[in-house]
Amino acid sequence: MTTMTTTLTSYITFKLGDELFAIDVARVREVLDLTEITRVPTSPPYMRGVVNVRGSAIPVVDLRYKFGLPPTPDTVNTRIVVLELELDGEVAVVGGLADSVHEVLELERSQIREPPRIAMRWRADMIEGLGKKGEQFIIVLDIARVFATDGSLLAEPAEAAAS
Amino acid sequence: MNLSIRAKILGLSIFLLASLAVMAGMGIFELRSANERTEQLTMMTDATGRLAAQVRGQQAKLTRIERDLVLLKDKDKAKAAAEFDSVMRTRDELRQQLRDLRNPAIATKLEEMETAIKEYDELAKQVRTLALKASNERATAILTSGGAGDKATEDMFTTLHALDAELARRADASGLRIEVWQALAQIAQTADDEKEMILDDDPEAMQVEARHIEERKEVLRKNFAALDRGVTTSEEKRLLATVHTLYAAFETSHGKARELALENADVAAVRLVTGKSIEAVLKVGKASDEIVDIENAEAKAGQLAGASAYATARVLMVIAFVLALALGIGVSIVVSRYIAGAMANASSLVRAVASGDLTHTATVTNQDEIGRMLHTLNDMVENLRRVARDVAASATSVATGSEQMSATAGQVAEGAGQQGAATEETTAAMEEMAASVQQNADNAQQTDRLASKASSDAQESGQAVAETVSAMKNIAEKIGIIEEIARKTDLLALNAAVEAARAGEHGKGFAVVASEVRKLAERSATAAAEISAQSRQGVMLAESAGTMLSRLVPDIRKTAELVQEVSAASREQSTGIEQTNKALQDLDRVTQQNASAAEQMAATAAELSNQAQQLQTAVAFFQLETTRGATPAVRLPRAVSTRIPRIATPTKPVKPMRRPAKLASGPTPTMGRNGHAAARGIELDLGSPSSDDDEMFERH
Repeated sequence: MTTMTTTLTSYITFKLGDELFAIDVARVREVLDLTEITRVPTSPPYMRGVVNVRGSAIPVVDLRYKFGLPPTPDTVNTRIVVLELELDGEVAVVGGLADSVHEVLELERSQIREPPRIAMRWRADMIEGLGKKGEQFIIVLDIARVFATDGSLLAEPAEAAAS
Repeated sequence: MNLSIRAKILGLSIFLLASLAVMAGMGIFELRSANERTEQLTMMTDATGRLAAQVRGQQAKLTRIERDLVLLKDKDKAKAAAEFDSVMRTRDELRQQLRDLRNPAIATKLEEMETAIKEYDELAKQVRTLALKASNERATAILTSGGAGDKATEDMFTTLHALDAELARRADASGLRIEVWQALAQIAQTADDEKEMILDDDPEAMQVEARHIEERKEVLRKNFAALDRGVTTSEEKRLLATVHTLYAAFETSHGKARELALENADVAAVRLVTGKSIEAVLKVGKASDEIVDIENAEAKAGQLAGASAYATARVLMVIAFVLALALGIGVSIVVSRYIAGAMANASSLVRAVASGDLTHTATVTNQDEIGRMLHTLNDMVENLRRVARDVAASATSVATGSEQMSATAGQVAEGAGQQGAATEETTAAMEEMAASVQQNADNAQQTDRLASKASSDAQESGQAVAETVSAMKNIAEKIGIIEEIARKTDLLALNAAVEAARAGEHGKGFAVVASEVRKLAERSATAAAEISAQSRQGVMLAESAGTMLSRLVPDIRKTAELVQEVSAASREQSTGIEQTNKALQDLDRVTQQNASAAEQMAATAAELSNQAQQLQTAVAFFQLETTRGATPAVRLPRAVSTRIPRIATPTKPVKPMRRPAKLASGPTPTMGRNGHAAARGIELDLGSPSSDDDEMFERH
């Protein structure tokens, strides 16, 4: 039981398009319903703006843009995942806009496999590995890296091919 | 009045001749009065002549006064002018009277006279003006009767002589003295010339003298100029100045006298009086003389012609009257004799016709009115003959026709009976039809009621469905709220799970609870979504049901309307049937009338037969041919039955008519000896055609 405990990690799962992603719960402060997002001028295109969470302004990043997916209109299921990230040694609170947020899932480390080096859509260094829930693959993200990277998360060859 | 035509014609002729005599007398009387009128006309002509002569006398008087006007002195001239004007007025009045007579015979001459008088008047006016001027007289007055001119001359002479005496004292002044003498001579000669000028009446001579005077004036001017240069002493100068002054005065007065002398108006007046004026007067006289002559001649001629015409007309009238009298008497005797003869001829023919004898004709001798009348009488007799023959034939035909009519009446009665039966059948059929139409109408009414009910039910159903739809929508809203709650719960559970996970081992239990709560939320969300989908489908179904129901309502209404139309049509049919029934009643009535008409027809046929027999008796009066005696040429047909088939009258209008009584189809009984029609004493032919009928009568 204790061994089980040590090897189990909690992840929060969310969806962008058809893909199911997972983030370590330790990074997540809370999940919010979509509220009014105030646009900030001269911000990079992936920044949707800032939201007011109990008195503090939190920047919100459009994860669809970050993951190179086409923009879709917001739905009732659209939610903001509030993350606590260590960036350059400082803890930053950032909101990520996800199509839907599903559940808190416990996965064993052993269940998470290394992502294949080739034929991946996104850059491999952003991805911790591939988990599985039933028949559905879950892409476990290294979210700190994702936010540290300023540009797109698409793989280089794909980028080259796209250009 | 009961006079013969001859007497009437003679009387008429005498009356006409008497009228002629009266007219002749009146004509003669009229002629005499016409003659008198002619004499009156002659008197008028005399008046014309008298007036013309008077005009002439006045004109002569005028001429005399005119001459006086020229010759008399100033004072008398005015008097003469007044007299002249008054005579002229008198003459003009007479002229006017002459014109007023309007005698057509003297119109031309009168016009001529008028022209001459106008011409004279124009000249007389000039003469009057010139005479009143009297310039010569005034010129003489200036020169002679102590006028300023004479005194100036005397003074001038005295002064010139004084000047001559003064000059004589000087030894060197002989030339100047000659000038003085010359001036004296010139002045004296000028005065002579002037006297000459006044006495002269020839304008040319006067002009010559005027020229002489001018020449003398020129010489005088030269003399005076020489003297002006020559005089030296003061006395001489004074005298010469006086001479100058006096000469100027002389020239002024004598110049005026000369002008008057030159004008010479008296002479012009005299010349006018003795010249043109006389001519005009002569013309007036001539015209008026001619007028008088014309009038006298005309009057004479008219008088003579009137008298002779009167005598001739009187003689002619007497002759014409005597001739007309003799001719009238002769003609009236001849004509009256001729007319009387012809009348006697015509009256004998008419007498024969009156007695029924149509065998005679009158002999026509000529083609005048009486001949034509006899001809017409012959035609009349011929036509009467033909008519009598035709009437006899027609009487026979009428008798036969009446028999046929009787038979026809029987047929008509039978036809009426059949018609009655047919009417009955038709009536029955109509009743059946009416019943079925009534049933139709009832059914239609019931259907109409049902359709109305269905329509209202459908409407209510539609309303219920609409309510259902709104309820469903309400449910869907409520489910939305549930969904929202489920979602919120889900989010809360998620956050709880996150918190639990972050709490690590301590949050494990809480994590499980959160997970359960989340699952419950998920399930309730799923269930809500399902309910939502279900209710949406329910709404759709209810809506389509509503649509269908709403479509059903107009269809049902349409059905109801159609059914109402069917009902209305049934009503109309019912009315139609009623009308048909009424028509059938009428038909029935007409049938009955037909039957009674047939009865009457039979009676009429009997009467007709009777009348035909009478007609034949009447026609027998005429004697048509000379060969046969007074026997009627017409035979009577058998008499006609008066028995009529009776037709029973139905009690109810649309009830079947009972068969009419059987018509008398057997042998028709004829009026034989018992028939009333034979009561006129006509000879009846009781031969074979009526024997059977008689037997029948016997059996009765």
